[in-house]
Amino acid sequence: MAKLNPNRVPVAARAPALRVKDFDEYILGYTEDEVRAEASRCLQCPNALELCRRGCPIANEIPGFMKAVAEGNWEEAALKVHLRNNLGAVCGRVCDQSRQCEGSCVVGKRGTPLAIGLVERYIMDWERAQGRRAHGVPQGMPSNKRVAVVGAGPAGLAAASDLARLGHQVTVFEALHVAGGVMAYGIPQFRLPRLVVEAEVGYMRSLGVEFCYDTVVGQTIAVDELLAGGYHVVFLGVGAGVPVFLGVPGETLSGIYSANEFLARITMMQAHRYPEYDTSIYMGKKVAVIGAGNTAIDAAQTALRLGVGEVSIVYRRSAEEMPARKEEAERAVEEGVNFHWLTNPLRFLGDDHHGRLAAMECIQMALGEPDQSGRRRPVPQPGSEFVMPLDNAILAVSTIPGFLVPRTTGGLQVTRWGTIVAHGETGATDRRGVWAGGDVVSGPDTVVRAIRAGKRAAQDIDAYLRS
Amino acid sequence: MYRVVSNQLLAPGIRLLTVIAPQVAAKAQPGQFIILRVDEKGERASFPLVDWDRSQGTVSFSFQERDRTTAKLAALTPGASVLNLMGPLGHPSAIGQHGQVLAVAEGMGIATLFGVARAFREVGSQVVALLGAAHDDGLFWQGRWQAISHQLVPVTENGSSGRQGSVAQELGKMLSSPEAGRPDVVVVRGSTPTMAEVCEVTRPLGIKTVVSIHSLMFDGFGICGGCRITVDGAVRLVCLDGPDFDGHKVDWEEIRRREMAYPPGLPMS
Repeated sequence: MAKLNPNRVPVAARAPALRVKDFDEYILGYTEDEVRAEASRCLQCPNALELCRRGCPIANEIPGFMKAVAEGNWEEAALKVHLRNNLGAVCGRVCDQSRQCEGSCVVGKRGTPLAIGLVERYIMDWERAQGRRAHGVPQGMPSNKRVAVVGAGPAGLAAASDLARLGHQVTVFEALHVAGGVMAYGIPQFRLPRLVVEAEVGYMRSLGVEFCYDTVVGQTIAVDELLAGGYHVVFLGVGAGVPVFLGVPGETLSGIYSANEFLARITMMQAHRYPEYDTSIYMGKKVAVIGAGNTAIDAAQTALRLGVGEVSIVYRRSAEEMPARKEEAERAVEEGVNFHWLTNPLRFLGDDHHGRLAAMECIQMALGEPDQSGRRRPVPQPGSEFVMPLDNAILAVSTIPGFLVPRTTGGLQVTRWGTIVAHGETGATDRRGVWAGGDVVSGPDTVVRAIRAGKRAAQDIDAYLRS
Repeated sequence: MYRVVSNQLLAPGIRLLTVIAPQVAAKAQPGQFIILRVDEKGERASFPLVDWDRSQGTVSFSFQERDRTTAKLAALTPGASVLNLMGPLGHPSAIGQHGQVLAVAEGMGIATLFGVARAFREVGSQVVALLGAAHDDGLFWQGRWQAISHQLVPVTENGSSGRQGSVAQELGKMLSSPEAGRPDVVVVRGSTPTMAEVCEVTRPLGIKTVVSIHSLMFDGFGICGGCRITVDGAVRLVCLDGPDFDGHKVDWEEIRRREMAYPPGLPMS
């Protein structure tokens, strides 16, 4: 075996000054030589299930696809990804690998961990370029049973594709006009190109999954009607998409957006291409994004690409508690995003004439004792109030599940946070024939953990339908 | 794809579009709305439902020509289609059994309030209709309203038909005349300033007044939060909590301001 290179093969990225001028993907990904060199660094640990695969919520067959890539066996690599991951091209781009698989990679103890995400991305991009998808994934016998999947986000898509492979007839009901959930309306194209999500959905269609758009379950049709109308099982993957506002004065001034609205206008509706597209967005010169999760970083980078001169992230805790991927935050800094740590908005101030946002009054915070989340609680510092002039504010604090489905579905148990109570391993709810998974059960979480919930539910649903 | 059955001009600038959308028709109730996207490059925009035919699978909604989307809608001919249409959205209007319901509609509201007024009539309420427009050519559907109303009062701003004035002015006169009965509820559809004025007429008299808010929104099920308004000091979403609200508790000034957030034709800076 060649001597182990302790350092990761660097990946090409477009220069910050250039990439902020468009919405194209800016992490360019590995070349064939680079990806093989990087995959060759894998030690093929026999106890991978306690290392990288344990760090991965869906226990991706990481050593398996690393070996195949190192040998240049692309089809085998693609099959290894498909065996565990329904959305490999997405996970390769948006997962927080540093806290998951890569964070558990032993190579990282002596050097930099394997670039597992970039290798997974390469494999899936290679496969997409071939125009075919891995064969050899086990299939179930046709069951003649029908499953309704509600919501075409990561949980729903994972459940739908696994159930289709397992032999069931699956229909996905989606409220919007496009599939993908947050992958379609939230995550910006420069991080997750639209083509990638479309290809995943196309593949699911090729597995026999049907998609019904423009259908708001809970309004257009109720879960009870689906069950009465020929569906044997319903899986609820409706997410946690309702934005939480701060509850401070002035929050309804014009110029203040939820991150959802802001990102959806751009990512899904292409407002940056107005007037070619009908959706528009009005942005001024100074923008603050409140919050420091991945959505906040996405919003800040998106604002820069709309030509906003000054973009700041305002967060009430410090850099250490930031929920966003460190890597994404670093990319945002490279592009010129400012970070105001330990800063909390007190109220929004309008201009006198039109009620448009003019400024935000903030207070400085200091970190006190740890709270329930284990993070040190931010405490306001009296007398430290200051006013930040502002044209737009984007609120990316948190989201909660909507109530349309629970309100219109008998027999579901709902927590006071609006999440649906479901079995932790199987996703089964209190209502017979109804499973739930993803953010609607966990509250806002990552794409990969939603995939895990969808997959686990699919296994349990399969057992139920065949019993 | 949702095929257009008819595209009717109700009054200058006001149209009624009827499309085939069986799953929406099956569920539609008075007071609800839809969201549509005309074509691949279109925006998502909301429109109040006016009528539906469950057996034909059609729904009708009205709009005023004033921006890119409504210009596209106005140009649709029978056989053409809109790309996406979802609904019905929002809570249906609460149709309680009241002695007297005073229905106040202005402009396009003459279309959008009709189904609500008819529903009140169907549960046995007495409907008094106060319908207003700028000119007489804006007073459409007088026959339909006549058929469901105990009393019909048309007004025009220029006096060309019916009494002269605004619906709010006329409402003030009606409620102060001693022979008029006191309505149990006033339901209003019209422009934001008109609905706000009507609420100021009924507020001192303590007459319950229900308005329907048409707010900018994107998804219609709570995702964007763009339709947030302040009601009785608390933030509410028009899509999930409305569109009907107690008009005396709505912050009208704020709604006026938010309507200016995306004025038609504003260039992106």
